[in-house]
Amino acid sequence: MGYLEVEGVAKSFGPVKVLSDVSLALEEGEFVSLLGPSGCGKTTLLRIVAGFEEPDRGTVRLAGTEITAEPPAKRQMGMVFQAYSLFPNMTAEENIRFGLKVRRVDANEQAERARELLELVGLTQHRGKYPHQLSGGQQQRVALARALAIRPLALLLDEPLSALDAKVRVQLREEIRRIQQETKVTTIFVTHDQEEALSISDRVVVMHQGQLSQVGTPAAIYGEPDNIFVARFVGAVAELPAEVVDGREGIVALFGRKVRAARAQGMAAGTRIYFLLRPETVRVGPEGANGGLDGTVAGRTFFGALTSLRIELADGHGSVTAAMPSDKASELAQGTRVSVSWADDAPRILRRE
Amino acid sequence: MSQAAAAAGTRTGTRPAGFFARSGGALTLIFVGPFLLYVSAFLILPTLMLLATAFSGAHGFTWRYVGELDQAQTLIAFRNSIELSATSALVGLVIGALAAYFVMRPGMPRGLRSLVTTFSAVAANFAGVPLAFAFIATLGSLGVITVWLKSIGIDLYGAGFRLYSILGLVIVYAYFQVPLMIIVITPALEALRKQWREAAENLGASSIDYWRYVGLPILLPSLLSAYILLFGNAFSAYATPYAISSGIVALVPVEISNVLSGNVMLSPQTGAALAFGMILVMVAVMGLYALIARQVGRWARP
Repeated sequence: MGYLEVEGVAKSFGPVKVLSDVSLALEEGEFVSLLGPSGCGKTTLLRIVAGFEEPDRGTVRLAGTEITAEPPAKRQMGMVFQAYSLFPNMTAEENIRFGLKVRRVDANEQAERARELLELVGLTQHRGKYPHQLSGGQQQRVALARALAIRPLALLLDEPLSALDAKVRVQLREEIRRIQQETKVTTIFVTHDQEEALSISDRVVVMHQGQLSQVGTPAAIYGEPDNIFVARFVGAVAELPAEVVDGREGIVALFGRKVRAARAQGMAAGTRIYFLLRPETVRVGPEGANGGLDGTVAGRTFFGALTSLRIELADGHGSVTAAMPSDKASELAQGTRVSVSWADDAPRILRRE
Repeated sequence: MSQAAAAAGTRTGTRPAGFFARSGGALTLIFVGPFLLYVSAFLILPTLMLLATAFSGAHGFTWRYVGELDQAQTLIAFRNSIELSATSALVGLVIGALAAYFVMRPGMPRGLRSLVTTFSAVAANFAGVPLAFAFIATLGSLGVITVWLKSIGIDLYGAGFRLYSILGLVIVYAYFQVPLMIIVITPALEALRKQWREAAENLGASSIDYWRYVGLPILLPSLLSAYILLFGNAFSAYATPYAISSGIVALVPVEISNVLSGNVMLSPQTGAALAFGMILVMVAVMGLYALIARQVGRWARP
């Protein structure tokens, strides 16, 4: 049994079904991200856990106690919202003390806890500033400290980085993870940003159309997608249609040629599949080399150390993206004819309906 | 991008901004200029003339008329006007704010809000003789409601109520003060973010805690501004109280009318001195407001 459990939760807003029979269990101290596109139900699920929405069906349990009917104020959960949730009429310190103040905690204890938390989030020197005098990143740090002040049984983060600029996002997400590991608080982090989810989570829950599409470690979600939605949503992937020819040997037919694919072993001959290639598994060589697929460099995107090359496959077979060191990629001008190949165990195989 | 290109980009980028800034300045002058002229002609100039009149006698400068403001009748008029304005503003503030809050609560019928807003826009501007007539016809000594209440055993006038009293005028003023409050406070209520309430709840706050520590302190500057507006609105009202009380309740605007129209005496200087007194009251109220607003709104200052 998990520390924080959601079981059989369903929720509709009018005729729109937002969550369908969702079950999820978090271990104590675990950091789990809910990842998915807009409208997939991740924020609704978080709000049900927080008590701001009532599920139509299902239960929420925390530390062995059912809390489905408990109001948010009684749940002992800290929540950080997207943005602008600090009380504007209170200083950073007063914001942090608020939860303790309404719980009638002794003033000295409030001050001590606020001091600890301001130190934890690195804002001691900004304690007397009002929210509008703080940057977006500082405001979210204060919001995090405020949520932690009540020593929550669970921390709920609702896209807390979405309103920040790219550099601050990266800094703050690392800080969130550091603080979570220091405080060992069980955390649910909602995001639509796969990089964020993969970089700081113990486990990632990919959601799609109100259901859990896949739950797993970041490596499993990225490397072993269970379904085509997860493969497409998490990371870039080339989807090549293929068919299993020999399941015992792991041979598949790809654009009329037989290629080895270790993950196709055990599949019945004739099974229609997606042959999935992540950019970092694609090798690019001279045209005709290694018996790979021929193609032409059709586009490039520079990412600093790496450059992403879009290679149009010959005979209109679609395109493949290859990520390679920028110095090597610079040798391949647009229009260069190349060959793409991969290691036998690189392609991920998914059944194609 | 090369430095040259970047510099070129900057140049082309600043040109339109400069153009719009210049043309914006001209447009501002075209549209705001006439308004400033209008204000100068019909507010500043009359105020200066009023001051000049208040301090002018047959032989030039005099304190006489301003000095007469401490006469008993005048002091009663000021006390009544301030009492009526302060009370009706408070009634408007409380009832208007609560009405606006409950109309805006989630789950209220969609049409209710637009109905209340539309009614408020009309009612806030419905004052003067028609309003006085409406109240005389309903709450006057022979008004419909008065008579009906009497028929069920509630004798308003027997109990001492008079429409032409401060209490009666407060009830009449509520008709336009409450809608005005609804109109001015609605944007401030809308600006209260849902996240503040949820964050407070999440941290363990009750509804009372939320309003005590978050909601009301955030609204306080707006409530103060609204109170000043309502106070000024009541303080300067003339036609409504005159039509209702025919001067029985001494109020400064009615006194000014009396000395200007010559019903009692004709003395433009006394009228100007009374108006000067009204300006002093408003300046004092505004000064008090500025002091309090500075304190309660310190969190919003850069």
